[in-house]
Amino acid sequence: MADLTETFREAFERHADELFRHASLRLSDRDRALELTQECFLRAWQYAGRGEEIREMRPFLFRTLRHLIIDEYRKSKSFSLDSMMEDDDGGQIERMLPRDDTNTLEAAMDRFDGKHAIAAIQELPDLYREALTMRYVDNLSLKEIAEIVRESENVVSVRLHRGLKKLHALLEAE
Amino acid sequence: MNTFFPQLKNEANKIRLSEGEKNFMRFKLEEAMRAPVPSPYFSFAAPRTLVPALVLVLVVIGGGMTYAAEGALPGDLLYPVKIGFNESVRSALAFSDESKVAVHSVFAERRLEEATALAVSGRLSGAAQKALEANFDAHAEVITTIVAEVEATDPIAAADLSARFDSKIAAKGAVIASIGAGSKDTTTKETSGAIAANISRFTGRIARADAPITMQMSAEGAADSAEVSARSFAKATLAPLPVETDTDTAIAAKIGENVLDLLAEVDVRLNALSESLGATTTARIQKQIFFIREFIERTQEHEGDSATARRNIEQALRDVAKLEAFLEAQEKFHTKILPTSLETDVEGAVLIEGGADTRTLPL
Repeated sequence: MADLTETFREAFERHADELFRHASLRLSDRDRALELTQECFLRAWQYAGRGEEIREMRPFLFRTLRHLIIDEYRKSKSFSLDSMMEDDDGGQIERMLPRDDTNTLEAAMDRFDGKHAIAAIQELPDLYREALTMRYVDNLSLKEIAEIVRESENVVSVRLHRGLKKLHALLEAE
Repeated sequence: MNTFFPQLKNEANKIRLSEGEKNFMRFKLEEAMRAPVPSPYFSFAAPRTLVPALVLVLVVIGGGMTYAAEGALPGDLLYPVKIGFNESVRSALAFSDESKVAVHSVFAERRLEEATALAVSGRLSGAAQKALEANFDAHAEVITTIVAEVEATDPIAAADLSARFDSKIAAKGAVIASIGAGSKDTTTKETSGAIAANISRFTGRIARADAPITMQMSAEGAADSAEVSARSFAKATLAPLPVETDTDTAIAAKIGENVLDLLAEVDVRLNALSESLGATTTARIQKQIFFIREFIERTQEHEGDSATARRNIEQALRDVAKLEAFLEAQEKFHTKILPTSLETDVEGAVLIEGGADTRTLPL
């Protein structure tokens, strides 16, 4: 078991900060973010301790954290479906969306100051917040995000696109 | 040049765990990774196991009546059996000084526990209070006498016995004071207060540090955190003392061991109670445990003035005994009363917000 302990120690040193960061951005409550981050590691350990294999630590940890965040939303008194859902069904549009549109959109963000974007991101519906945080703060690849949130890459791509659009609109309005 | 996203990332990167938060989290992970060890539940009460087997035989022969008497409170039919028979048998069979002190300590504590139980149910009358105080005083005085005798030949043992007894009754006194303070009944308020005040006659003996340990630790801040993170948290025993040690250092070491044992028990109790206490309170107490452990490990360095070290360790024992007593009360009486913190020595208490903090713990 020495190997596993070392693996987890290393995983903690490597990922604790970024997991905490992600949780903070999603929850806007530092104390809860702390608790969830800790819980994330503990659960991961229990999972591994049961003999389950963890192929890749980082996505696994993010996935575990994500579940905790979802549970957190469900418990929250001010939980509203709106904050979770997208505006409309992404299924139809995903097939029609040209791939390079996102690049254009990203370039368009350049007029804004990245510093103020954090506050704006926290105002987005959580589905977009999640996608944008994972992509631009956690630097997860499209493929990794898709695996973590268990959606197709296309769906993730649409969420990113719409998230950026909304973010753009929010920053524009300031 | 795309600057927005790098700026965003930079800004986001400022969100991170503090040194202290990281240490604490690391500690919790290490704790979880250690193989679960069965709690030495009765290790701090080791003196109890010194009660000879003969007593158990007598109790068994006595039959159901003596067992039933064990839980009796003043006013119950079997209370005289508990005091008059069970306890006198036990004290008669204690031979060594240490087991005598242990036995009398147990009885003194029991009077406090009985007072607590009565206070919680509003039955702590003036008469009950006086009777309990009288019995408590009798046991406490025996202990005082024995400890004074022991001190002549073995000051370290004497200091250890003193510290154990003092910290336990001070802790239980704090619980009674809390219940009295929170009670709406005037009689209970009076009688609880009186008992708590009476206890302080016997707790002057162990020294007090300038401030509770958790305050000292947090005041020092993250200064030693790098040092702390380098240490293995799996270690729960103290290093052996160097050959030349003075009395204070030896006493500090002995008491330090008590504290670690007691901390282990507090940990177990806390785990069992975490659901009813709620996540925030549980986390707060865990932090206090963590700080005290860190503190004890630091004192191993044997730096600085040994008298101060001893005072600090005795304070730590007080602090932990207090935690233990309150958790025990929580368990027994579901009083939902905890000390606001160890930061004040005023036995003030606060009622936990019912319901709002209740969470189902994962797993």
